[in-house]
Amino acid sequence: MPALSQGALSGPYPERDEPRENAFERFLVAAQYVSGARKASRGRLRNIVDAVQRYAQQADALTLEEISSRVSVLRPRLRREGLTLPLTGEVFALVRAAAGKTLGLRHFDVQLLGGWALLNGMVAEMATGEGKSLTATLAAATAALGGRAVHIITVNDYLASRDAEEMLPLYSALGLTVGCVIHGVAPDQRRAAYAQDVTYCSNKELAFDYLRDRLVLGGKLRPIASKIDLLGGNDLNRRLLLRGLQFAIVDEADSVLIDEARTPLILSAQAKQTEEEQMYRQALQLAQQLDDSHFAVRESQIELTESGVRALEALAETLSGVWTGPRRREQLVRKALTALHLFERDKHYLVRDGKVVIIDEFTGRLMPDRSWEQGLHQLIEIKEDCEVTGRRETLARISYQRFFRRYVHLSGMTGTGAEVAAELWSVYRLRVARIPTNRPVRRLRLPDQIFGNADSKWQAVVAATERLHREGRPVLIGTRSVAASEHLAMLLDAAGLPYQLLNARQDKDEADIIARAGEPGRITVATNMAGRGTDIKLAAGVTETGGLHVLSAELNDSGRIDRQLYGRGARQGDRGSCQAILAMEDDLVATYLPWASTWLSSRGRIPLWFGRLLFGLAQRRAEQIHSRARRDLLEMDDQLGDMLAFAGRRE
Amino acid sequence: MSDELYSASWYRVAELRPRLRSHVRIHRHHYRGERWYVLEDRVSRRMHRFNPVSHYVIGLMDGYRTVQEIWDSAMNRFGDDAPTQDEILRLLGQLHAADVLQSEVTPDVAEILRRARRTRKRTWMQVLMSPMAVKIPLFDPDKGLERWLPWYRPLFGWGAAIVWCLVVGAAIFQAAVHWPELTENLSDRVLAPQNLLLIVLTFPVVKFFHEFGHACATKAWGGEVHEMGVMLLVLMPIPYVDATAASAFRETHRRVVVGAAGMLVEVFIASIALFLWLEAEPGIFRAVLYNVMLIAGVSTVLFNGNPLLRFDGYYILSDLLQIPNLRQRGQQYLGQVVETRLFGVRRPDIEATRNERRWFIGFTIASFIYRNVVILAIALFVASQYFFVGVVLAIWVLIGAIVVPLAKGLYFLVFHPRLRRHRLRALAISGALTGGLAAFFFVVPVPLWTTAEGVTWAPEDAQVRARADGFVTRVVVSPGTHVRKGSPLIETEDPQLEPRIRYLTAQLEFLEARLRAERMTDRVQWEITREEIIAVEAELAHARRQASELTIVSPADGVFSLATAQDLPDRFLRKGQEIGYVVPVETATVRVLVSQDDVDMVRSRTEEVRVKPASRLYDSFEAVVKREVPAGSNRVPNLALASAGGGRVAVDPRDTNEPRALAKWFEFDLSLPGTPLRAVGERVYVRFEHGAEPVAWRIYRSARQLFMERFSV
Repeated sequence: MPALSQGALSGPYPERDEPRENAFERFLVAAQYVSGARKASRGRLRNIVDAVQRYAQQADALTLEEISSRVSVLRPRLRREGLTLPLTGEVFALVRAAAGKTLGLRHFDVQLLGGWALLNGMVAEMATGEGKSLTATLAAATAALGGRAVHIITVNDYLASRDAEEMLPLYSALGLTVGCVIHGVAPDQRRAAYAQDVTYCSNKELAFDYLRDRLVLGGKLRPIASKIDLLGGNDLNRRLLLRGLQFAIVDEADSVLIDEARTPLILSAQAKQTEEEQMYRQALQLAQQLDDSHFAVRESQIELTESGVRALEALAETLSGVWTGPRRREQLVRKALTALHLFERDKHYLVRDGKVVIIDEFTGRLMPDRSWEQGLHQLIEIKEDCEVTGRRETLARISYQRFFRRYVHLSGMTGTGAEVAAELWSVYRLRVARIPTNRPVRRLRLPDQIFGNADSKWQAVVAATERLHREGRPVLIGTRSVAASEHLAMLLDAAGLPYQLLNARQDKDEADIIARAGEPGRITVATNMAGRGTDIKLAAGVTETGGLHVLSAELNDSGRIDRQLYGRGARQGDRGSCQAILAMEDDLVATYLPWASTWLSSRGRIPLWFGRLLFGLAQRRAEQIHSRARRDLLEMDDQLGDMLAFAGRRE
Repeated sequence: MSDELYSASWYRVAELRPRLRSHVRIHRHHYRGERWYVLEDRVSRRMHRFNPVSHYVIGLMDGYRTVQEIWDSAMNRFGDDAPTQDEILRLLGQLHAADVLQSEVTPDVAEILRRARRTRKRTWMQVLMSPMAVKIPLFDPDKGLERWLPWYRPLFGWGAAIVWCLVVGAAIFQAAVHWPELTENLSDRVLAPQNLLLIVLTFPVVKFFHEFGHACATKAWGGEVHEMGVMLLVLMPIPYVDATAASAFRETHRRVVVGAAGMLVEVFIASIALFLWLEAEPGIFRAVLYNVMLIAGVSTVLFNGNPLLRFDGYYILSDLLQIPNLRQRGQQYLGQVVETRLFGVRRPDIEATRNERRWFIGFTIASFIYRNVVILAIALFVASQYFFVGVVLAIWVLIGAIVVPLAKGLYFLVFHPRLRRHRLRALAISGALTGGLAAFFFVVPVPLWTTAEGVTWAPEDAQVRARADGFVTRVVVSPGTHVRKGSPLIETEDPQLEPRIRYLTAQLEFLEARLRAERMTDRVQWEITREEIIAVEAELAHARRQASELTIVSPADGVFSLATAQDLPDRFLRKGQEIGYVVPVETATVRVLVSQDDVDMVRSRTEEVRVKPASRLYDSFEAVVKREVPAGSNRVPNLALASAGGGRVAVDPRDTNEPRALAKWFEFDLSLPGTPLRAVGERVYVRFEHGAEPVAWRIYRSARQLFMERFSV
């Protein structure tokens, strides 16, 4: 395995040029993958354990001061020689010793494997609860000692600040500084945080900071010119936030790199208020006057029918301005219809404090700074009687796919990477290394129950919950949408069961709620991805009753996310069980296998094998569609970049 | 990209202040009654056509206005017809890709380098894909043309046009007058070896003038001509000139003249050559003139004038129709029709009027078929000319012309994102079409037969011949009637025979009288007279027999057949001369010549034979093979079968005594039971039925035969 080369890091603001492959090269990459690149051989990863072992006794015997001085000896060597196996072995041994002394946690051997995988630019697949945060410190510390600006990227601010705080003693003991960037931090502080050896940040903050840097760098300057400027030490240095994209460890790599890959990050500024609001109001009014016969939904897009076009023409007769021409008129109304009929409150967005807040499709989280583009947001605001915000003017945009591809060294950790190994390889050149669990998994998979209609399903969910609650076991119920979680809450209320609701609407105390979800008899209803990264610690006595029971009330588009949910229980060798209770009316089947949904939605219980088959099919289809969409996005980005090459290098 | 007014990428360009680079000229044109603007890039020599809206937008790009301002202004002006932001982006991208856009921002160098690499690669791929048409640019003739402009400028005016018409008109008249001389033994003359050499030498010279025709016409009207070179067309070097500047001409007729200039020059040269040829003494000079005429006249009209290939004719046609890029747009349109109508893909229509669409369909299909036929022919020709290299080249050509497009089509079907959600249907339909075609080729049996020509043939004993010299006095039996063997058919007379019989009779009487007288008197004389009598008696008997033979009798039972009954009376017939036939009633005989290519099929797989006489094409008769000659021969049984007589058999022109076929042919005798023939020596068309067989096997067989024949393998 090649140790990190120094060359790529030379110069100010290092980052990688995005790879551009033609069809043949893509084919070669795929062939590489098939021919074994994906099998990051565990045997070779194992070498690190021996390398660490060589220094283990010696390192463990050192005091913190001695560790620190030993580290400062190794630092220049790491820079000079690169992260070679023996050197890394010693550093790992020192880090482990320091961790034991400062945090009271020593890295397990599997975590050493994980750390080495990270240093080798792989995705370490480690089961939930195997201590990914601790694993990351190995690689982060080693790379930081080797002179890289290390970014540890988490899925949310909470995790970033928690990890930064928790690991601070360790890094300090090694003579490393730690920064943390979360939402609301002022630019100066950000710059300071990024200037530290290791920076913890959420993916979103990082990407936006990068975009801001690009705005500073881009536009008027070309790469070489900007680098000369940077070397010249003019004020550019002081305006940039990051030190380049050098070394990244992405936590929950699959969700950041794959699931969110499609979301474009848009840096925008408020545009000047125009007469557009009136236009959108009128569009919505017109759209409300149309009925079902006037439009059709095809492939989740609204299309006006023949009669719709005529009806609209009649309605618009008295209007002037944009309404005179059919093209813009129909387009606006189509958009208004989309806002009216395709975007549902509490599913796609919710209204909070008189504002429309987008709910992330994947994480179920609120995205208060995001807004839909091209008038859609305004239309929904009008629809919900909110104050209409002005159009946002895009300043820069980038997708996660393109952003992370620019890292000189990218690595990641995840609980569920196997399914997307091919895509991780083809897009990011990341191999997935499966790291064994420290202790055997004791998760009991109970047989799923699949129903035709949703009502039977919910009844079954409530019944199951009640039973477990009686047994004194904690139950975590995962749903996909806010609406579903609230529906379930209502049913639980009716059944007289106490529960904690955790969804995008009330995400304030989520870490707290999650932390307590392991208490006996506790019922927690959560949208699937809420509170990721927080451990559910089992209270005393729960293990005896069977541990946490994770109940999935809806499957997600991707089986990975379901597995992530199940992973909340039975951690680190704890006992636990999981089960899915589903209905054919669920969104997953309704969207991807509509015929099955309509055919079976009036039935009660459905034979398990058949239901599983259908859900499997639906999931497969969904994943295919998403994966293709991501590939397309990347390709389209490239094409667009080529087309707009005259406007200079893109952000 | 959709109909969306706003674009998510707008921010990238909104503040840009673009302008066109200075070497760009814009010309206003009219095509099919509509206004268009042609943007001429004088450096890359490319043309880009824009509609008035785009032109308006382009016109606003002055380096001072921002793209946002330009768009706002277009919105104000065109309202609903204004381009969307995406369209503006695309327009800008298009201009950038054409390298005519400039702005205050340095473009992405990486993209420019990538594009340059791609262009280079594409040029190479083009050469690789079409080894039969490789362009090699040689020099820039513009300066020279500029210097000589005053000399040829007047040639593009009315005066020159009139002179041209007069000269060419006169030449056409002369050609018509001397047509037989011109066309006599055309193929022999053209393909004679020393002449082929002459053609190879004359051809580039004539084509050189042709190309200068284009170049001068372009220059004469203010275009620039910057590239001249040699194109290896089927390995034959042919000069070419880049006259794209002409596309910028506003007037349709000028564009047409530039396109036609080459041919005009050639036809003029051919006319002059014709006049000289008529005057010249036979010799090498005359041969050269003949070839010049041939190349400049015939090849031009057949080759350059043909619009289905991408030569002059195509450009003339596309200019006349005022549909620029006819070929390319036609292909696009056809592709769109297939996608939308067959595959159900929803995509925006190509901008085209109804009439244009008709042309697209007609032209594209016709040129597709023609082009592939030509390519096949070229491949075959090359393959047959040079054995090993030829086969390799031919395979190469076929790969470039057929395999690669097919593979591309397949790739499109399987991978192209536009077919998403329609892929199943697209694959099903394409599969069904291919399957149908394959079924047609491989499974559906198609009747198979071999056609041949023959003549009705009488058996030797059926011929009616004159038994003695004589003049015909009477045809006793009218032709077509049944006669029995021995019954008189024609009476003839020999005007000398009657007197001679009388004379001999008289002489005999006289000699007998003398014999009686001499019996007693002169014993010796008596003996002599007796001998004389015997001689005269023999002579008389002979004459009598001759007299009886003057009546021609039927040699057999059958139908009396006489080709020219009305010409017979008073005609002199020599002894042994063939007059007609008595054809056996029950069976007629036909002698057929089968070519070497077909003989195997005819021998091994004939299931049924049908015969159609030339005089009664509406009837066909069944026949059976009675006799076949196992070896081929050059003998032509009847001149009706020779090419001179309207038949298929090519006859060796050198041997004038007896017609001899150039190739070996195989004789078959067929008998037609129950079918009397009216005439013997009549041409018949014979069809050997071989049952039915799928087309593919037939193609395979002919291909194999061809290979065996061409390559003797």
